[in-house]
Amino acid sequence: MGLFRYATRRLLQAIPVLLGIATITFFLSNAVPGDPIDIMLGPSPAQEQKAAIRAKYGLDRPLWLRYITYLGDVSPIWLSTVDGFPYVAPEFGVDLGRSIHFGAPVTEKIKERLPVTMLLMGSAFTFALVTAVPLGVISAYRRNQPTDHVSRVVALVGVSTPSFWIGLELIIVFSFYLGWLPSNSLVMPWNLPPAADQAGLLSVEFWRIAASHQVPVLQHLILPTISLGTLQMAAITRIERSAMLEQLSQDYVQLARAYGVRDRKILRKHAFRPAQLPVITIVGLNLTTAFGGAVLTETVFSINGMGTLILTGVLNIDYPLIMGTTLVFGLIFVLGVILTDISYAYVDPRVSYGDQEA
Amino acid sequence: MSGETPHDRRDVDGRADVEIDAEDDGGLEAEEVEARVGLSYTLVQLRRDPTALAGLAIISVSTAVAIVASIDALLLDYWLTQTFWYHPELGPHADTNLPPYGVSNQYYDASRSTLAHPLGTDFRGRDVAVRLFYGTRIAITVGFTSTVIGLVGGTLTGAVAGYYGGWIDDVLMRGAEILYAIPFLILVIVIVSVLDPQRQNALLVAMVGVGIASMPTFARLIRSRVFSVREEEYVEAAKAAGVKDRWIILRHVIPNSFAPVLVQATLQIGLAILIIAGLSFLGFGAQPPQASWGQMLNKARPLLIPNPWFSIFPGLCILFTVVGFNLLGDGLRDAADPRIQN
Repeated sequence: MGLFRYATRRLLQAIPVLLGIATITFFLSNAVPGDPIDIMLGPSPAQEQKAAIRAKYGLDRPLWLRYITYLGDVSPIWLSTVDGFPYVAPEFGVDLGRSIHFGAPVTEKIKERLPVTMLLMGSAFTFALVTAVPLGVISAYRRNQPTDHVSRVVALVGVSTPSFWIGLELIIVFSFYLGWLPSNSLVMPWNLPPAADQAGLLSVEFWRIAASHQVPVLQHLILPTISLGTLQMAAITRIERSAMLEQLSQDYVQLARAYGVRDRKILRKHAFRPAQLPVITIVGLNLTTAFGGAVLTETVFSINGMGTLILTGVLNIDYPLIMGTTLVFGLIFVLGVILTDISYAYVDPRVSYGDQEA
Repeated sequence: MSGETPHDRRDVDGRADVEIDAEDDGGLEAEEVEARVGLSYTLVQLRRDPTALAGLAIISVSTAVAIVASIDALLLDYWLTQTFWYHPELGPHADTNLPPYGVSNQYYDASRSTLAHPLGTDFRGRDVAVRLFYGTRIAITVGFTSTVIGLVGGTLTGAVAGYYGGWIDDVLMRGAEILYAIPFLILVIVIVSVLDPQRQNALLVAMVGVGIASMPTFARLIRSRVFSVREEEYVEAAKAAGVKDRWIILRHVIPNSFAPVLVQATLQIGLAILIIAGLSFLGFGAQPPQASWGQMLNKARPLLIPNPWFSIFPGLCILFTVVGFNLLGDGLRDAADPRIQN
């Protein structure tokens, strides 16, 4: 009950933020000098043709009218517009407009690209957490010993290295000199070869093909994951270490020590859980840095994801595409932060979704 | 330790709290407690920290290189580098269409030395080493300038929001939240393409953009500090004496929040260098003839396999410089935190 009410309240609080993002991106992208129609049609298009296309994309209407229409289109539930004037009507679904560059609905492009970026980000954060959490704990436990020094140097270098440069060097070493791993694009785990469809979902053959398909998926994922995940790994290691150190210096840990509880047990049973709170926060907040990193990583590895999509939008002055992708990034970030806050309660039972005080 | 008195603020650097009970601070005398907080104490502590000093050394070297390069470019019109070295943007072989050469297979220039190009030449016959040297100038300038923009803007917004509270706070902090929710890099890319479609001053715009995008971080930091400083008695006293709000913020609130801001600013310079390198790599920062590390990595990308040395050295330069700022930032943070001292 508490959880449900808390989540609802946080989602409602997110609406003004999303409205703000929509507003900023709308006015920013409409302030981009240059005419997208010129870019689309080439150097000297016929005037009538230009006018027709302007009308098709609604670019002939005044800015404020376009803004209101845009807000009505992107709001998922109730606001609808006739000639730009909003009225309340049950209109479901989100319309992000048509991409001028691709000539296709923006939602369609995002549906195509978002899973790619999500796979990359998920894999990068998994890599970061799996390596950073043990590294940080060991580092704190063996404070000022060689293990600690090594892990601190790794973390320091990790937060100081440009992610795209790591990607470039990984390509040189692992793709070129060693030839072990591919250096471009990703393979989606669910894009099975046609033979699998012919075999049918229930056959053994299908599952054999599906399983062997995961090999190239992983091979393509490894280098971009390290490139994008290293920064996160280093940041989480640093947070994990200082959080663990803080917990280990608490009175209750001293007490447990005095009672003769073994160090391993103190780490596992006492200090570990409360030390995860700052780590959860940093993962939520670092979603945005990771999105920025995804733009660079996708460029380096020629991956067709959200990052390269927004670059295409910016380079072609494609307003709907810029606005749509930025809005989706903002939405994911806001949802990520809410999810972070909710997961606090699982780690820290003292957090009560704040409805006691109300 | 009881530590429950409202005056007890040893964890922060407020200077007003000298009157701490003797048993409250583990036997320290009042003057000693005062000596443990504040900026001067932080700097004294810093001198005992070898890693922070290493960071300071790296920063000093980079800044010195940047200053020499700036003097050479702005005042001497590349006289210094051309006399003792090569022009960073035109280079010794810029007009030839020769293929790039690596460390092992260089242009031989008898008039200078046998090792004319210690790091090879790039795809336009320009000396890589001199371009790396000049890249320091862009990195350091951009890092410091954008951080100052973010620091000043963020500090003022945060101080105003925290001091007045109410709707001003709500509006400013929602604004910061929105700015924070759009990925940093993407925000700056959009800003650059809006303000400078021809990319004539892209580096300048990117620098300002990174500064603006870093404002929320500083604003939040200052705001939370202001909340504690606002309740201090000397601020009350200043108010009662009829001192203007503007003066209270500038004279009392901001100086009392300085130490954590300094830590954040040091780390932010390193971050700004990384982000500007990323922007230049994507083509939204420094532009082709300019010698910037990110731009050099951009040009290295199509030649990655035949000429890997193009990409190795600029990346190492970025890494080295940013490590310097992170070392100093970490050292400052530890030095500013009295709990860590023994």
